[in-house]
Amino acid sequence: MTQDLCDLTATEARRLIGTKEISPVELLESCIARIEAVDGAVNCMVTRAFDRAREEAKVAERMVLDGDDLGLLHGLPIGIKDLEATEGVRTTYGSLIYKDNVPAADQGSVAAVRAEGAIVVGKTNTPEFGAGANTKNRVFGATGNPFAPVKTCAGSSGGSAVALATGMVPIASGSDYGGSLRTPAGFCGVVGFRPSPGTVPAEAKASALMPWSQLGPMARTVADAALLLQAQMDDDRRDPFSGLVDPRLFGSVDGLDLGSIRAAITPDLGCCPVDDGIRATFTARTDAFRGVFAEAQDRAPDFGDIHRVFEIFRGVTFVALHHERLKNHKDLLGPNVIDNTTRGLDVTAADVGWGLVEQGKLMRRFIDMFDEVDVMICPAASVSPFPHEQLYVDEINGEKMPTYMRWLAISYVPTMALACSCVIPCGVDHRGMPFGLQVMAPGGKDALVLAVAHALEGYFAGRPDFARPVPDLKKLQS
Amino acid sequence: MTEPCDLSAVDLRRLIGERKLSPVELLASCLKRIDAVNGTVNAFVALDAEGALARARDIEAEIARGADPGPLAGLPIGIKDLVNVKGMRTTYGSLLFKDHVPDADDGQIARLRQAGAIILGKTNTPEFGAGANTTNRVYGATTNPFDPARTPGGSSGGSAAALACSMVPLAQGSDTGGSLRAPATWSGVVGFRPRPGAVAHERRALPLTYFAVQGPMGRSVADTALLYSAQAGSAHAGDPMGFPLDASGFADLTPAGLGGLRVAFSEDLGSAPVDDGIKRVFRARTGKFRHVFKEARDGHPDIAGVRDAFWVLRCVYYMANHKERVEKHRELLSPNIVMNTEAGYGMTLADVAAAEVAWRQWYDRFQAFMEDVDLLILPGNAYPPYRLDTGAPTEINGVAMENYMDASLIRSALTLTGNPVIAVPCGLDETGAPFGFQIAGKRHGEAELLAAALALETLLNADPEMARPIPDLEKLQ
Repeated sequence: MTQDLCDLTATEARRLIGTKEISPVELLESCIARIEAVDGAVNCMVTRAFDRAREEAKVAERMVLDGDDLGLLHGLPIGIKDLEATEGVRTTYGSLIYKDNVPAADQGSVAAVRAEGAIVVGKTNTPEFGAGANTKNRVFGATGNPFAPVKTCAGSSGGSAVALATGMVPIASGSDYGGSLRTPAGFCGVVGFRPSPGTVPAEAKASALMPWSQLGPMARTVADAALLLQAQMDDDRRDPFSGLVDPRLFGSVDGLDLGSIRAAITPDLGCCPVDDGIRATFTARTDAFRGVFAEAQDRAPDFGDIHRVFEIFRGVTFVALHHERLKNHKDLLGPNVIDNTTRGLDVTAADVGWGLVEQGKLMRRFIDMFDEVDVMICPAASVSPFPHEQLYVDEINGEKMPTYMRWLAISYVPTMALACSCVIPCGVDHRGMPFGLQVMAPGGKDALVLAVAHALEGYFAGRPDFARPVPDLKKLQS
Repeated sequence: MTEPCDLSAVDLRRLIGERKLSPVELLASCLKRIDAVNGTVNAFVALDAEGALARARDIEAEIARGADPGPLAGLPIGIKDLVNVKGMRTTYGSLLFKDHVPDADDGQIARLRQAGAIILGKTNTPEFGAGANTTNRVYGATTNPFDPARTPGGSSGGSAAALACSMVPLAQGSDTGGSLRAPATWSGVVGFRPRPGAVAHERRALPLTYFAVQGPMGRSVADTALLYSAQAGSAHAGDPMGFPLDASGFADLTPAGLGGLRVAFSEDLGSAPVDDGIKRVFRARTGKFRHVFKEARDGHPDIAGVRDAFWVLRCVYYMANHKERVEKHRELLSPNIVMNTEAGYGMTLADVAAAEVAWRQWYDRFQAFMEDVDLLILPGNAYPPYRLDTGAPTEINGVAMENYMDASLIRSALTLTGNPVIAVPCGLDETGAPFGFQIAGKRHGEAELLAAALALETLLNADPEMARPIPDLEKLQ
């Protein structure tokens, strides 16, 4: 079953479409068959648009046969996270308030990939309004981890990660505030890339002048994620951070020598709770490959009072988005949204001012470290996947977590430093679940981060302990 | 009589390159002018004549050797006293920094040096750049070259006054609520607020915000664009708004064809406080040239909520920058700093979130408005320059202002958009002080805006009533 068309990489499938060796129709049918076979067990493709997809695949096939100019993603099925508005396809944001919402238009990030020929097969599950890293909500329920469906796939782009891991689609969209493209990629053994602010414009953010939440690509390989990113990138006047697209991002991710790269290696970014088992896995893996770099330094910058900074700005975002809803629809909101919004209401404007200053200081210390290194590597997530019954991780190594977000510090710390960061799979952890690494650099270094991640992925591919884990699909069908 | 220091930066650079004018001679001319009028105007507050002379000699020697010392080679420049210059007293207009001598240049100064500019000295600014005036307890007030009893505006007022008096051909400034535009307008010179990040500033205390930008000032649009071409484009990793940009083309822009442009005119954005006299001048002047455009209409985006959003966010930024100082050194700080900081103490995160949302909505309305027009033209200031002895007006057209930033809404509203805005002089107002326009362009449309301003400036200068006013230097000596 692993030989199915739907298991091809996006790059390979796109090449074969261009050479007429496979048809977009065949590829789509293979993806649909996979969805129908395994989604009962994992519940990730929560709204399906098969009819329209089939029509579009026929048109795509015709265009190939007619010798038309084909887009970057021509004929590739894609899963769209249910936080992104899709024309004619139900978009719930994981919220009961929007459970029957059918947008009249695609948002820019969706229009951009469709303009490049991608075919939307369906919407992938997300927690309510993307809050928290456990993909479950009161509209669709929980999405299961394909390696153990009672466990969480993480989130908030969990549906996309699972769809990729199970071969339902070759590419999927996601978004990331405190790790939502990265944690689920880590938990499901796929690739998620958080780009620099504005790389993929988002036109509808309520607090658009805060660069925390970013759209980005997910895929099974770094090259595929880079391909999707090329289609997603744009300049949209409605996103103040969007602007000049870095032309280097249109280049190939190939050709980088890891031997020329100086890497900082840290199990915990110096300030984040990390489970001892994950720490041990990280150390064992990095000890085994650190020799490939020109230099490997065990270090992390001083991130100062970054948890407080995160909590303050999280408060601004949630109050901007949900203050009205909290007043009018509290009964329809989930506990994470209520918690985050309520906490924000206790904060003063002076605290926000303090947060702006502290963010500036810690970001500059982060950037300054990169005078001496090219990338920094840390675990994708702080813990092994846990049962999705549990809303979030409340304890690590016996230590109580002060908020529902703290276990995500390993991913929100890079966000607050405005880093770009790519998660790549790296074998399995101490419990046999997918283990991932983050490869990051300061904002603007997207092309470098992708090239290093791609080179590491290539290095891992030939080594059984490091290679991308693949779920047992047979188990998911029974 | 025209001295070398009265020539435009563009002409000076050409003459220097052709070896028809020595940078040493130009420097001497600038120093002579400073010596003659700075006693009255108080625009330059720190000078490095010796260092400037050494640099001018080096540039002269380089040119003699046939080298290309850069687009600003041999041009003296004034630097606002908010910017760190290595070895040069840099006070930020504050008693807390009155003896501060930085041991390193800010990135933008290093870039100017690399472009061949001669860093001649520091120009005056209000304490930490707070407010549309230029007075502080370290150096006192800078005066308006057209009437020393009045303010030149601020906060880049030292730079504007220095340019108006031809003390230097170029000057640097910065702009949060209008600090490049207000003093340019009241001093009869040009100030350009670029898009955020175009001139990277790695020392920005709040790198997440784009209120504060760095930018160029000159006596003409072409001079301003020349300086901008050397300032812009170097992304600095410490400034997340920074981005790489090939700015060299800004030095050699072709004036736009005005007949192809669609222009909206607004005397007050609908409801921003603007003095009736300023509105009258605005209507009369724009009436003289609006027919030249392809399309001219009166219109503006809706500014509902903008005043409050700007005020809340400004208070947050003031608390961020100054709360600790206010707590420790209240008596050493200017009333504007203390008031603006303390005004934020009662505000909550929910107020900030609401301001962020209102800001975002205004941003959207503005960008949508600019889809249909190329330029939006507004008055440069809401009222004529005020007398130093009476201070800023507390009411406009009989309506009381709630705080010291209310009267700047005509400029601060544009700050929130992130669009490029240029201030261009246009004759005198009813009180005999310089009058000018703000011209806003499309998002990221700096080249198009500068090209349009170049063409408009030529048109304005051809009409004696609308030409750039020149102060009577005799009176200032």
